[in-house]
Amino acid sequence: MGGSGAREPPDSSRSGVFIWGKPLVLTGGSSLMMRREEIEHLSWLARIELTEAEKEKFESQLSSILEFFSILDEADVDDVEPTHHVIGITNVFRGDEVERSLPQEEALRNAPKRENGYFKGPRIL
Amino acid sequence: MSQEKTNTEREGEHMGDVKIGLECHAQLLTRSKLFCGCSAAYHYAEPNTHVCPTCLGLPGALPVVNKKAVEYGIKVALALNCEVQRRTLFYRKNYFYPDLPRGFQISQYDFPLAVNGYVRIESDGGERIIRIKRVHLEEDPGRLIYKGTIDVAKYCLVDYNRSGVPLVEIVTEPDLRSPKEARIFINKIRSILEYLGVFDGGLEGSLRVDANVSIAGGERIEIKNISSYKGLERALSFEITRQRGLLRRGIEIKQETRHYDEIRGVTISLRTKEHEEDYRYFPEPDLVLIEISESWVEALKKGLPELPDEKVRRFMQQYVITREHAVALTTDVHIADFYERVAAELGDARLCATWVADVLKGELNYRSMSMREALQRVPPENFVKILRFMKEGKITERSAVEVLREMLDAGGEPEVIIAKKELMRMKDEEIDGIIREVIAENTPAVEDYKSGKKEALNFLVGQVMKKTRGRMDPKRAYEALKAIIAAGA
Repeated sequence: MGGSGAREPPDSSRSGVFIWGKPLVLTGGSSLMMRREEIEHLSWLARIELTEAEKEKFESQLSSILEFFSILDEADVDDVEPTHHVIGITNVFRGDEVERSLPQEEALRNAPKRENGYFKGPRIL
Repeated sequence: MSQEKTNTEREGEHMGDVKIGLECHAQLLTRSKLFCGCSAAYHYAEPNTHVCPTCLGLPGALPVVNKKAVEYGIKVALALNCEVQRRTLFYRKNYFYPDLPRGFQISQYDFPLAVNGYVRIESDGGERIIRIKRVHLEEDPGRLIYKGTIDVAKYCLVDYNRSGVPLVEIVTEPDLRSPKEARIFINKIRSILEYLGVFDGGLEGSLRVDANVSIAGGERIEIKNISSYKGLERALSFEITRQRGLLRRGIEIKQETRHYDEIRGVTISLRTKEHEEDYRYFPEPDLVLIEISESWVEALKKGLPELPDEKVRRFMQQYVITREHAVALTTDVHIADFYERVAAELGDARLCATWVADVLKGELNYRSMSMREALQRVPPENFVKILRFMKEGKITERSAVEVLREMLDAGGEPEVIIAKKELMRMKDEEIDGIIREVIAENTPAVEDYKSGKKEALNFLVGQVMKKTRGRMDPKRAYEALKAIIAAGA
């Protein structure tokens, strides 16, 4: 684990959150601010429509989340093996054996729309 | 047609200013899918009958990796001279598209199965090395069907039978220099994968290619949805011509993704809003790390068959045949095996090379028939019989071809076909009579020949061949005509 040593006294102007002994300072600074276009792009990627009020709200909330995460960047991880998975097991396999599939009717049961045994979906370019 | 011929891109010569890189996705021939036990043999099945909660992306369903698919992937990597990585890992590639039931595709990103390989191809300029950047595993998405073409359809139909079928993705460096080279490369990949027994190129949609193309002075263009061997060359030719046209008119070529329309043979702009970072790749939390030990790789390496390049070398040495013949005989592993059996039985390896590489392959191409299909009708021992009859002088070369054609079209024993079609070579005493008949029936041509027009004799030979339906060698007819006319004069 990296990070600096001595724990600093709490300061009312700061968030009161300490990470690795360093106080978390929420600057609201420019570099980590989520811009309006980024919020809109994210909402498009997630296919979730946002109102103007929601965009404003998420702008500040997501900006603080980014800031929280930026503190992780300060950790010195040069000698640390990346954690690919939280449980330490590897090589979980199955043999190449065919098992029974669902009947077509069962597979389509939750489909809002269907046609001739197919799921019916939107055309996407 | 002549329009196409004048198009330089179609000629396929080395184009110094063109850079092409390919991403080839090939379906692996496992029995079950990559992450579940549904059958991967979906090709002729009713829609949505090879599906289960895992490959339909139903909540709570968990993927488990098919070990065979990993082993096939390692074999492919070894055959492409790649470095198999000690640790490899699956990632989620997130995007919304109807063919992905979960909203993400399980693929690989950092820590792919293998990196840094190469493939040798025979190009116009001789041998070329095409570098392989990476080889990884991923799941096939479902199949989308549009009524009409993609830009006019109102909705799509989705069949998830293909969802979860294992794919090996092979990514090249931008080392290819022309559409023709790209086609040669893709044929070589097909050949290698079929040698390994992990792939069947004859199945519809079993190989799909995305291509990156740039020409000097323009940015890189990605073409998606190329799903046939012929389509690849056409799509690239179209795209290069289009890009040259833009540059000529002084229009900037900006990086974009285009869709290949197989029916119209054109590429269309897709205006995708997604970039690499938008896929939000992250390690698939439902799957654990795969560690590939040295001993596992070694065991798979030992099991690798002789690959096309080695086979070419061995064929040239063992059978003393030309490089062209060796290459032609080894592209398809089934043809290579057929040749070896025929050569072993007949003994005359060079004659066999001509008859398999030139005659048989030509007849197969003409019929769009694969060697595997042909084997049902022409087993090696029957092919040997035809060649033996020909060598013994019982049938002419032309009749041998006719017997082969009949066998490819309808099957049957060579002796029976020869008898039924009366293809036995004419006996000497019959020849004399036929020649005299032809001379009597074609006096003007005979006179022409006598008066010095040598080409008139070719006409007479043609008449003899027609009358005998190829049961006489043209050379024999030529000599006999000359002799009889000279004697009669």
